[in-house]
Amino acid sequence: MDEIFNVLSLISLLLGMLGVTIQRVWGECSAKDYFFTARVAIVASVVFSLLFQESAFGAPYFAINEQTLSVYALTSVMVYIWLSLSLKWFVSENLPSCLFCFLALVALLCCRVLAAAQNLMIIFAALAVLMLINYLFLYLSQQTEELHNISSRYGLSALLFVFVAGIALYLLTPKGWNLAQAADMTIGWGLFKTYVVVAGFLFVFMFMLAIAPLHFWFADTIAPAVLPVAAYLSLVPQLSLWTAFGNVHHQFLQPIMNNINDLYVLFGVLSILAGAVGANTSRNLRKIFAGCGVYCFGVILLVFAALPDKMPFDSHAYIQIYLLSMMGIYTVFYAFKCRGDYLYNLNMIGGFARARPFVAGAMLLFMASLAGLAPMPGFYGIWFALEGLANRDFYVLMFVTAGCLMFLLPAYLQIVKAVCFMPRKDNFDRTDNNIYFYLTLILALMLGLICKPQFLQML
Amino acid sequence: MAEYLLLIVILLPFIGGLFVAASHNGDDGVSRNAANVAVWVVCCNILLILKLFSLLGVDQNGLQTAYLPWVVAPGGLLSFCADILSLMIVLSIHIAVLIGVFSLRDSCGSQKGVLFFSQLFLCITSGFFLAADLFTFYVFFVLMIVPLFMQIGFCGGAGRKTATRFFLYNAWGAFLLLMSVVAIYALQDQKATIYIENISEIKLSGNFAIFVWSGVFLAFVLRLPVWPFHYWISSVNTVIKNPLVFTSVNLMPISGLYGFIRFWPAVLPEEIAALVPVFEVLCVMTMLYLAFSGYSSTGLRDKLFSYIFIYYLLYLLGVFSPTDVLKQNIAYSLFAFLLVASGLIMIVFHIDKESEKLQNSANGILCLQPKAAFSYAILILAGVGFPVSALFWNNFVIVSEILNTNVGIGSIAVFTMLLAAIFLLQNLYDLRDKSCMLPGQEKIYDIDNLRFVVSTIVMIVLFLSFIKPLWFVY
Repeated sequence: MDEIFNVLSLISLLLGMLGVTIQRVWGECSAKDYFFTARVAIVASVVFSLLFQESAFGAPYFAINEQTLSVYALTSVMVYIWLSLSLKWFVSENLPSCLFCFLALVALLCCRVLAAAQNLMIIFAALAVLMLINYLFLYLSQQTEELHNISSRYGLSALLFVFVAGIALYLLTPKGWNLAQAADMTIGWGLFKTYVVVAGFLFVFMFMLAIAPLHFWFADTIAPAVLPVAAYLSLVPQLSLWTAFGNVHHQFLQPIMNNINDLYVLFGVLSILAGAVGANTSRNLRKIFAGCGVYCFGVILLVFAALPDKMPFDSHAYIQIYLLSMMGIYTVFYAFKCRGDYLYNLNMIGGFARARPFVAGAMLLFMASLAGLAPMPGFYGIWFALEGLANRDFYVLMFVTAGCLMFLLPAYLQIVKAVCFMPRKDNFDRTDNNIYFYLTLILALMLGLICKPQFLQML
Repeated sequence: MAEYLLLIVILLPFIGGLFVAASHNGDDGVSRNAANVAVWVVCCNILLILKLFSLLGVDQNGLQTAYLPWVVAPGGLLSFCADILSLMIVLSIHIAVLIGVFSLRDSCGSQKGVLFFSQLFLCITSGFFLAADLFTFYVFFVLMIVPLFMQIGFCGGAGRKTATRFFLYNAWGAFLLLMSVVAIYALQDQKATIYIENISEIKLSGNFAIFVWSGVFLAFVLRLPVWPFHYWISSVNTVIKNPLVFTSVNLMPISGLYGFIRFWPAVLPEEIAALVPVFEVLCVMTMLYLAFSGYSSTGLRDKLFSYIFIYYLLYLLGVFSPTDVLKQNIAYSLFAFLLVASGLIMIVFHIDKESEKLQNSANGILCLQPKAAFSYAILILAGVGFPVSALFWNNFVIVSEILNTNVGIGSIAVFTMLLAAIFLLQNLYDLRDKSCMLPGQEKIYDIDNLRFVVSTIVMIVLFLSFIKPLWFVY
């Protein structure tokens, strides 16, 4: 009986997928029906996992703990909000949404598996499926030649990294796939073989996490993609990916390669620089925030390097805060609408604050959080990242990290300038009540985080 | 009770700001409701500050520290404390902003955004000046930029570009302070609260000390109009057409000044002490430059700008004198000075607005504005150091101490003050010169009764503070 309770949350997701498929095959269903089924499945899955999930379930392939559950709960909340907001897009564009909902549920399942996986083969499989989902989202939503080329490029790059990770997996042999024993398997190996295995897993994660120099696909795909897909790529897989990366790093990569932290520092600094530069060289809102994302990922990597002994709570909290702020930003993007078109360029959103002061005010707060301005939650991440670096006497890195944040500021300021200071150009479309509701919810969560930064862990 | 009152003084303007934001514009689109809410909130806060003064008493060093729990802060608390100096500055800033709100009253259109951020500015400045520990001090030091940035941006036109430059420039100062603060906390084994009054006890050595203290020094300098760091303030002042924003922006350098007062004890850290004479020379050079530019400029606001910053730099020279006894005098003088400056801003903006109707210069315009003429004359006389306000006694003490420390620097400072007095009096003479007045200019309006009453109250407060600086402590 206990085993049935343990798998109820997975069954809910699978039933959700089945339900969407049945609706597609046998029913004359609208977009609303597909989204409803998917959201019910998500809610049921979260409730069952929080109520019945036991830590011993799935061992030794999975490790269920409070952190895993909080990652899953938060990812599910994000998927739920994302689906609710995307529904309007599908209704207004009058496009089929069955596959979209199906892929969303598969992605959530993969995220869940990734966060808890303790086996490299399972992690590899989940990563590969997530890459495939990313590709399918891009492929299915392509409306332009540009997006077609981008999705092809993304697919080819993803294949390459899957291939490299596959080689690493092959070299490790099934005995070494368990994370706890993987490091021991490499004892006595030659340097080249060790490097191939490390590179295989490190690069596939860096590619998926958009860490420089493998971040090239991130801004490229987000900018031209349709809004629901851009929101998915920016929000949904990140938390689980970072959690899985944390597990692989602490149990596998770090023990077999002493100087891996130096590598993280290098990639972290590169990401910080690339993010700051990228955000400032565009007037496309999504590209600007993609740059901010790459910067934040760089900071998280630096925290990994600065606090090598454990999966740092600070970096985990920082990812959550970043995602929450980004969730808010994307919710605002759904409100940037004029005559049915979603706006994505700075020139198009002039004077938005005069038309929608609440939404614009919320956006300012989310940006303040991303910019690390106290007392917004983002400050918490930046403060502890800098403190961690200073504690290890990495003063130059501390200077670079905070300095690049200064270089990100002009990008944020030009958004504020457009939204708040420019004269109103167009009549913006009425903002849905859904958007107001979710913005208030995210702001309330942020307020909770300001008062108690461990708030998200407690969920 | 005092600790709760301290927190209320900090938080009340923020709550008031929310009410301002929620208030409705009138049918004509003018945000009178918002202005009224702002006035009431600031008045209530002034009363609370006066109550704090009475709890503090004239002879005590400081109030009991108040805490706001925040787990991110080292020690888990944001701590606040008040002494005469900080309370005087907070009170004067509140009065200055109140006068600024009164100056707004005949502005057309919605000023809700500006008023909301002025309330936020009051909340943040109160938090800054009442901060008791290093972390709290840093947090409010950074935050202060945000409401000013928004206010400048709301002014429109060239203000939009200037606002970005203003933010970035000041953010670099905040960045330097952040580096220093993080480095100081990293040195501590236990993440405990570091109180500002104990800052001079932090023992740093070698290059690390130079790194930390230079960061702190530059962070404060960037807030002050000292050459070559003066760019932001001069560029902002030339584009602002809103009296409340002008007042708020001109209050900003006090944060740098206050930082020096708190961080620069009588015994300077050795690593940075060698730089002080160089910095003093930069200060007086800037004062000279400001005095000459004020003398040569024809614009009313340019003259006012020069006057305000000459006096800020005078206070800075006072802070750098190797004694702690001037702190009280600086507080009393600054209080009177801010009252004079904000009163002058209110009248100058009115004169400027009315003079736009004239085809020629504004000379002689005060002949048509008897109430403005009276207020302007008294405030100018108080401002240049006539014995009608606390400015007279306390500047006398400050200047004598500067002269006592360094005759050369002191002499130049006195000369610049004299030059400032000359150009202000000359300007007053020009504005009252009947011979320049052309016939047919009846459409020039005087200041309204409300603003005349406000300026009269300012004069009375100034006069009472001349007799006894803390006359309002009961």
